[in-house]
Amino acid sequence: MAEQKLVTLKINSAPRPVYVKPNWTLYHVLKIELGLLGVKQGCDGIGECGHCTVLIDGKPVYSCLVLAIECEGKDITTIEGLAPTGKLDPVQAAFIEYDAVQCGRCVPAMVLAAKALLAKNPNPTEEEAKEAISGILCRCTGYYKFTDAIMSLKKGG
Amino acid sequence: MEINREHKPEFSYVGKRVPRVDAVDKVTGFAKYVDGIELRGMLYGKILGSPHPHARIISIDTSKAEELPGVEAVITGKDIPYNKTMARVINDRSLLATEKVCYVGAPVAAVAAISEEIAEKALELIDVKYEVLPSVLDPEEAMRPETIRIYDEFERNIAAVRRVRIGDAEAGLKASDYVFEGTFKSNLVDQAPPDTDSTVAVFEPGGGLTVWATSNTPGLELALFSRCFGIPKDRIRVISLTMGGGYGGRSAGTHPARYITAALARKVGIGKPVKITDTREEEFICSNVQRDMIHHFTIGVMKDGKINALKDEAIYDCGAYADLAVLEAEYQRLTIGATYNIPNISWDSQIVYTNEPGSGALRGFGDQQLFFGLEQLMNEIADKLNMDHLEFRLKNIFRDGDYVPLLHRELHAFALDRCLERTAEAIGLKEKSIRWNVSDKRIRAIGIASGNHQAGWRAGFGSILWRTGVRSPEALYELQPNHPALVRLPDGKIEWRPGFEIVDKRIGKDVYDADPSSCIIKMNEDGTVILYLAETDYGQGYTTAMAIIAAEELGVKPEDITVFSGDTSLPVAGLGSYASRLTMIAGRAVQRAAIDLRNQLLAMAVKVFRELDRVVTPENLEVKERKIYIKGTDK
Repeated sequence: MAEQKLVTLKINSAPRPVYVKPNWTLYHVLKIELGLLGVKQGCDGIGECGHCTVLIDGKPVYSCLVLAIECEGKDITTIEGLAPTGKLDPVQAAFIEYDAVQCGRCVPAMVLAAKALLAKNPNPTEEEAKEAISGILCRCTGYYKFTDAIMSLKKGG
Repeated sequence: MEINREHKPEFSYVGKRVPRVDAVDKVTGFAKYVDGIELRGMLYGKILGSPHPHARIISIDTSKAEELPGVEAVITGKDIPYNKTMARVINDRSLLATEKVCYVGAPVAAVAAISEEIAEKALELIDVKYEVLPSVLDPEEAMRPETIRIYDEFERNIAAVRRVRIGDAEAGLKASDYVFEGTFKSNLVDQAPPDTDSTVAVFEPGGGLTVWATSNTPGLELALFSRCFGIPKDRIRVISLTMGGGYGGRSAGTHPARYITAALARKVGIGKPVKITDTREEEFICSNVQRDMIHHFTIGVMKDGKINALKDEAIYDCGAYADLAVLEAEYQRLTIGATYNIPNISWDSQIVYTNEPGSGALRGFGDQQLFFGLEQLMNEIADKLNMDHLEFRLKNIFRDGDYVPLLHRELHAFALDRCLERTAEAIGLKEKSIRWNVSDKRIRAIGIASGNHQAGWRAGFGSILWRTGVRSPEALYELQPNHPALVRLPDGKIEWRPGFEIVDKRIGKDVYDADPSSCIIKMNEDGTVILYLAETDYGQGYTTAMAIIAAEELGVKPEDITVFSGDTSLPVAGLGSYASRLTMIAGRAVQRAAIDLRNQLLAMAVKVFRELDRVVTPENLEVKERKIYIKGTDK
């Protein structure tokens, strides 16, 4: 059995020391080792559904396809990092206002993808909004609610 | 208690945009799903499924798996007190197969271990010897007399038949000006909820059982767990957390893994939780699915476009279990007889076994497969008659107030005509031609079809009708003389087999037939409200809708209401969220409870106002924003 190594992952701006095996995905470490349950699994951890999405250095990444041990030194953002005191991030508030929340399973991933887009491009076109969430499957909403929520946050109004 | 039937001139919350009561939990990632449960000492379960679509089980040797370090239990069918728990209408299904497997993935054994990895290794060490049998994958082939029987009791692999006879279809067809035919095959559909099924079960001292399940019917699960393990209902608690939607496939009696998880928990001993989460592969390969059907329609029409006769010879491939298919066929039976006003109908559905995943429900519950074919044929007929697609339907559908022979009663508040007209208007059917927008990459087309669905489980119909398709033992005898529900008395009379009228003592005939919903509303001293509901919100917005109803009647804001739901330890009763019944039935319960509470508040207010030397009656008062006002004043 592979040995566990102590690494420090920077998660939501805080250093989190954790023992990881070299073959553990970031998804496994976040969910099982650190109890950050916002990452979800919808496929068999093979990068098909996008529900495990986190931000690594501001970019949305499938945490099921990344080894935890490779994430040392990187900035990892999970959904739990957006409203640590309970005050909702504007993206979260927009999702609620546009009812972009049904069963909720894809929502953490969608919120992070939206946040990543708006941080890089505060004035997206609708096509760009669609592209930003295109890696995340939703079985409930028909997707338009997410793009409506994103477009409502455009800097230009 | 009188329901207030005064129509409120303006609603404060009904019809307005109200944030979902669970939205904050979901956008923050705080909402809890069963697959996220990680309890101390929890074991991980895995199920060994059959690799063959059809085989006899010769032997099962679990000894090597049991010896693997980290494995705490291995079970087979003999470890389950009532292995046929999931059989409701038809007794064709075991939780863990002991004699025969009838589809790829059929559960044969299960393992609980300290990690998923070890559980998976243990599965490889279970040695099952099979005698592979010819598999039957096509329903028409399944019905040939020479084809192997999947279940011994079911000749030609026919699980059940359902039929409708109104008037004389053969005569009606002969008398028609034109006769059209069409054969339509619908395909198998997997519900594919974004989270796969997951269950955590733990047994407690004194024989109690707690289960967390991705089930939209916790009330019904409770009955099945009671049936499975012989535990009285007060000692069982079923909790549905947030779920990734339902899509029809999550109700009780369709997921063997739920009861198998509890059987593992029972084997490992008191206080040790066991969790089983289906893989996506398992969900696609062997979970219950919406089954495929073949409909062969023959429709006779008069020159003026009036349909004179309809014949449908349908074959319903129910896979390895018929339970849900039989219920779906029952819905189709009602739909075919209650949508178009056709004087002569002959509708036959044969529900046929094949060695494929068993029948489950998908939104529409049988009506999708039916209308898929029927409505296409309707359009073809309209085209041949040179009639507008909308006009042809309006000419033939039932109208409000019509007597429906199949239902033995008149239709009330039936607005299919207005639905069709408004839909046509909303989509601009008249302005756009059918092939509307053709580019080299896409063809956009527009069309209209009728739909009809019985919402509600079977309130008013009685469990005999939905379980057999008929109302009397004589009528059933005519259809299926060897039906297990019938006995012939010494004097020759045909009667129901004793006990058949009781669906299941643990479920209770009254509950099963009436399918009620109940709720309790508690108002705190500060005017905030707690609403207790039996059923689950799986993303459809149920708890929010109920909060809106309560808010409207109680004069509080929806955000002043907290909802607890989907937990059988709550002092409310209801089988679950299915059949499009909640807004109407649970909504009524919430409205009644809220009105009752409001009346209590107003009675108290009368006393308070009297102490302030104001004489008022409840009729003078209104509730608004957590306060009670004398109407038309600021007092």
